[in-house]
Amino acid sequence: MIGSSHTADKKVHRIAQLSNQTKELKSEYLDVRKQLTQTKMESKITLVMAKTGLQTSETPPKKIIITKKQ
Amino acid sequence: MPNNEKNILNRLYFVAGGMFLFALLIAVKLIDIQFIEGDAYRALAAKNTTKNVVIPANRGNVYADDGSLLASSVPKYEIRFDAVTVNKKDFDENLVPLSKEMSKMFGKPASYYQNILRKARSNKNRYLLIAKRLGYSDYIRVKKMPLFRKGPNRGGFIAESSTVREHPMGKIAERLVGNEDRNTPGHYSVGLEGAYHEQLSGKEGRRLKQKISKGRWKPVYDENQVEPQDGHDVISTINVNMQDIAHHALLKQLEEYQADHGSVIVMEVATGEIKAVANLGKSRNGGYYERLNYAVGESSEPGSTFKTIALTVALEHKVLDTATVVDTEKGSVRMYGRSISDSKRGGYGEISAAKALEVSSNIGFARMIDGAYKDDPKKFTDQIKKWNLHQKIGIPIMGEGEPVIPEEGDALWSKNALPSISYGYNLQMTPLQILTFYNAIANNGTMVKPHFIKEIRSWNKQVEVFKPEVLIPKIASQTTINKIQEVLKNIVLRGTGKSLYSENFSMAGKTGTARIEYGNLELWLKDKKYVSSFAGYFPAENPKYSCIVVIHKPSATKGYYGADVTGPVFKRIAQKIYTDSPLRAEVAAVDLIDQATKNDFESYYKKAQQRSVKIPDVKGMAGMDAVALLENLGLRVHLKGNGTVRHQSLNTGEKIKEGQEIILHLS
Repeated sequence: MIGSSHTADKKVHRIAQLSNQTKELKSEYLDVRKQLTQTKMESKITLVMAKTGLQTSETPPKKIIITKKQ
Repeated sequence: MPNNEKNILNRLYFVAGGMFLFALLIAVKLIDIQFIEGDAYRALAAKNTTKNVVIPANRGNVYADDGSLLASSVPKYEIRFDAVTVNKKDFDENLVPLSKEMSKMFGKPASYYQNILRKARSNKNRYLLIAKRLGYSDYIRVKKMPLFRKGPNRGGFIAESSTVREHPMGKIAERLVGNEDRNTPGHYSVGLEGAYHEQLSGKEGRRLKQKISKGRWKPVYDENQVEPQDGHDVISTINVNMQDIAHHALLKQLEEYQADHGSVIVMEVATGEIKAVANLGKSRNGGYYERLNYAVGESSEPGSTFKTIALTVALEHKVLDTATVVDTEKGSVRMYGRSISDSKRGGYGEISAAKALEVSSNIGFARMIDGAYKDDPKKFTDQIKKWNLHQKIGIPIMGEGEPVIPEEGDALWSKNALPSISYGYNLQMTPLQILTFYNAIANNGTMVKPHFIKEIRSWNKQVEVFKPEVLIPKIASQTTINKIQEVLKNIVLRGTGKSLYSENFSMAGKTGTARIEYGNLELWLKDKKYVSSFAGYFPAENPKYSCIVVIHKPSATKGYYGADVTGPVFKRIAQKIYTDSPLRAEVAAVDLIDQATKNDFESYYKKAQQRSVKIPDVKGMAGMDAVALLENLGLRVHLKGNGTVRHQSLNTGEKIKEGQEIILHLS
């Protein structure tokens, strides 16, 4: 009885630890995601690339599709 | 000694009696505690060691159309410092390095942090605030600083986390997504967060818990509890890229024209999905930020963008044709005692109705519409009402502005009302409402309801899907629509929007420049205030997106015409969408083998296959081929110039030394 109560207590502590960890991990995930979202935004990239002299294209890329003759 | 014996017996009786009485008292008290006050005590015991804990539900996320996160809940950390628990040696040793680290991270000089840490120690402050609202990575950084890394007991490091709403996109689209109410945490009323609060918030659970060591609580039962239900996720129609472009294009124009505020909406023509909404207002220090949801909430006089609507009414009633000629005279006429003027000095003279829209002639419209409807203005306003432009669209977001379309008999009505309405005054509409009409024109007459949400999900399960909603299947005949589309296209080709024309991609739309706050003409003339707008769609043929840009109060000295102020924002978005969709070129492929190329490749292949110990002859070879060849032989290659190799610094046939440098001159 006392033994099982103790194991239960131990489990509670472990759960608390783990849920703290998930919280931290989620926070880390979002933090990294935020950085990614912001760095990959076109306005940011345009700003960075402006230093090297590159700028947004005026014309779209061309997609060449090869149709094979049968 | 019988006397003595009796004496002892008496004493014994007395003691026994006393003990019996004592026992009785205990029994009475026991009964009292157990049965009479028992319930109260049992309740007290339960209260001190168990509690009914509320398990908060996780709030759902808001996503963009491609699955990028727009809003999510994350823990944020508040760091405090217990200056008493740290021993003297640790404190003295770490004070300087810690202050330096803090200075690096938080910006103020190290001496400042040294000071506040010292002061906290002498004041025995056990709860000194170090930093608030730190994200995870910053929190970890602080946790690893000298002294703090020793932990809570030796290092005095205290971290408290709380859940806050985070927007990975930053300030972009903040108004549309919405924020937690500042004064009442946990409540959301604005934006998408407010509109879908119920779905996002979920249901909180309950569970009975008992106190155990270390201040933790363990559940008492396995069942008998309310399970928390996490909130659903909301997938919006917002496109991160378009939002980004719209935001920055608007910001650039606002800054250039030092305007008060502005908004942009981009809508998908066929479905009514809102792809971007940017709202920027000037702050007190002159910068711009997402201030209010102007796009949805601000109802004002639209000015010339309304002329398109007026012309559509007249064409649909067949009281006018695009070829109908109207005399705009010399640019200034009086109607019902009020003077109306056109922006071009000297006027446009006699022009067609189509031309009147192209050049945005106020006189032309006042005369045409007044001429056609002065006897029955209700016919004109009723048509507008048929298109539901006189009432809110009914979007779920709070604060949609109320349009005002006066009609005959209203307090706002006068003889002048009809001509004024024809060129966009004496009535009010929000940018979203105007855009809904232009979108219908682009959509060949089908008016769809603008919507912001694609679906509501719970994990990977769809809870609710939002389909495009048709408001009016056909607002006007196809002939009318075709004519209006043609004129809108010509406006960019040769009308008021011609400065926007691009040979690469097509656009159609109408400029607008409206005076505001003109009640007191003298005041207005001193400080001219305008609203510039541009509403339209792109590409001109088979439109994909419609868009409206509205900028309030640009600095009149810098410019105020719709084409100059708002047009570039429109163009930038159109260009972005154009450059994002690749052109397709189909090539009938052929397995033709070019003999020269083949020979070239074979000779190169032969050279590449030889694990030569001597420098090969690379003269005449293309630069990139030479590099591959030489680097595979273990040489370090330096290139000068572009093209084919003219000169190589090491002669052919020399023995190769590992890591040797060779310089190739190309031309």
